Amino acid sequence: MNQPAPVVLGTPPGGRRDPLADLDAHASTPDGRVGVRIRGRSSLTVTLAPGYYDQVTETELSRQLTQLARLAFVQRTRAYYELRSRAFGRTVTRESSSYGARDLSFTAGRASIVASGSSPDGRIRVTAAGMESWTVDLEPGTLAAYDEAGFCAAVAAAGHDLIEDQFRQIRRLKDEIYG
Amino acid sequence: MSYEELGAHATEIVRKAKEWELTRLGYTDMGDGTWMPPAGYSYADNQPTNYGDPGGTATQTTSSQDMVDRDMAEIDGKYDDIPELFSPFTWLPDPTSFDGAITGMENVQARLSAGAEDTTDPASGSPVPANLVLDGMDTSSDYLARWTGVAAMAFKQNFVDTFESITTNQFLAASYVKGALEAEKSLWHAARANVDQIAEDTLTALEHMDDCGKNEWSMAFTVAGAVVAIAAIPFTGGASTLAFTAVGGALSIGGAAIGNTDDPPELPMAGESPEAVCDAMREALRELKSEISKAEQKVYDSMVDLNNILAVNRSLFVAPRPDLADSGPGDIRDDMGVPR
Repeated sequence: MNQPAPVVLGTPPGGRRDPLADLDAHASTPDGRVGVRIRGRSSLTVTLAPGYYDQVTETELSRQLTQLARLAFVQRTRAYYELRSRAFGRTVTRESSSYGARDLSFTAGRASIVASGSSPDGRIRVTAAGMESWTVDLEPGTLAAYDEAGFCAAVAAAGHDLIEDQFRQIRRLKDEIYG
Repeated sequence: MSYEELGAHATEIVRKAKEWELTRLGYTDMGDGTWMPPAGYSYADNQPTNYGDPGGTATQTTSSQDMVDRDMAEIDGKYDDIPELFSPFTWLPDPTSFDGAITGMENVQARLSAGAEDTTDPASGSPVPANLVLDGMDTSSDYLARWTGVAAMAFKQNFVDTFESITTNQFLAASYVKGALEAEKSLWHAARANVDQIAEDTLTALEHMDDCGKNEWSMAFTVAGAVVAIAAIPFTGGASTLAFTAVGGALSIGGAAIGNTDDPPELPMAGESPEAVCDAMREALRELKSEISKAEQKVYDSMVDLNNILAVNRSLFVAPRPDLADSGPGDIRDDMGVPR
């Protein structure tokens, strides 16, 4: 059997780079007890106020993380438009409002996307419907299963998973609508 | 990114667009610039040569390499025109190549500047230092007070009386030529920046097609405002009849512009697929060509008008040739008509 020859396209000058590499957004809950930093395409770092992990309940932490996710999305969107403004050399603050039929289909389809992500062990699950409605579910016993650092890493992994899921679904939707 | 790298950017646009296409077809990026075909393609190689015709003579007609070749022929057909589209833009005139001619016209202005108020450069609004040599003409009639006769009268009428007007007109004509040169410099400066921006935006748009938002951007054609109409000072001696639109360069006009002060035309662009992004780029290049042509037409029209004015109204710009210039020794006569 003859193996077909690989297609040779060459590499970009200066090497390959994540176009969102310079994205950097921070958010924290109003009481400052839970924070997150989003860098690049989907890298997250989650932090808790000192001592908070030892006293908080799973219900309360779930509520805080849900709130944080919503705030983080707002900050990420802002950082994204700043990055896009730099990339195109002109200020961009929102999408255009002049939509054609395909754009309307896209925005409607995007609003109906339900993206989700979970920690590697499945104890922590993050869901976003249309990037508007957020939920962070912690399986009972989650706090006991992790130490603070492990918990933060698991939440970050779930968030990363959700972002990548959203990217995948967006790509599929764009291919479907725009060809 | 810079204009000098435009050819390389065109090549990179093609490469990026093809990467997208291969990804969509399921090719695997090996990370070293090579892409492996989808695993399913090898199925074709495993078919018996008489597949579908057991015991017959039919032979296999499609191999995995055929399938790759077919993919690449289709992909190449979509994007291989791009370097050719950018090619005419890679040899746009160098804006600095106009500097020598502009300096030359500044020297002409300096020689023709009599230092009066109207020797302000109409394009830049800046005064041009007076050429003191020209001041001598103001007092020349004092020296000629005792010179009388037909020749004296003719000299005064043809040269002394008209000197200021003709010098001013020459100064203005030189200024308008200088303005046109500055317009050309601005035009090509903007054209280079615009085509560079189109290439840069296309590369950026290809990188951001995966973003969750709409992949839209816009192109502002600053070349449209590079050539500006300036408030032309009428030529002395026929002002009301010498309609003329002078032009200058946006880079050097100062506050003298009377047109093109609006924002440059903007073309909204969007693309969620490599084909759409490259189609937007093609449209932008077509639009840029059109804007360059329109800007060039303004300079051309201005210079044709100036040339016509100079040709039809020669006496406003050049003093009549002195009779003495065409006379020999035998033609010079004294008051009594005796040759000298």
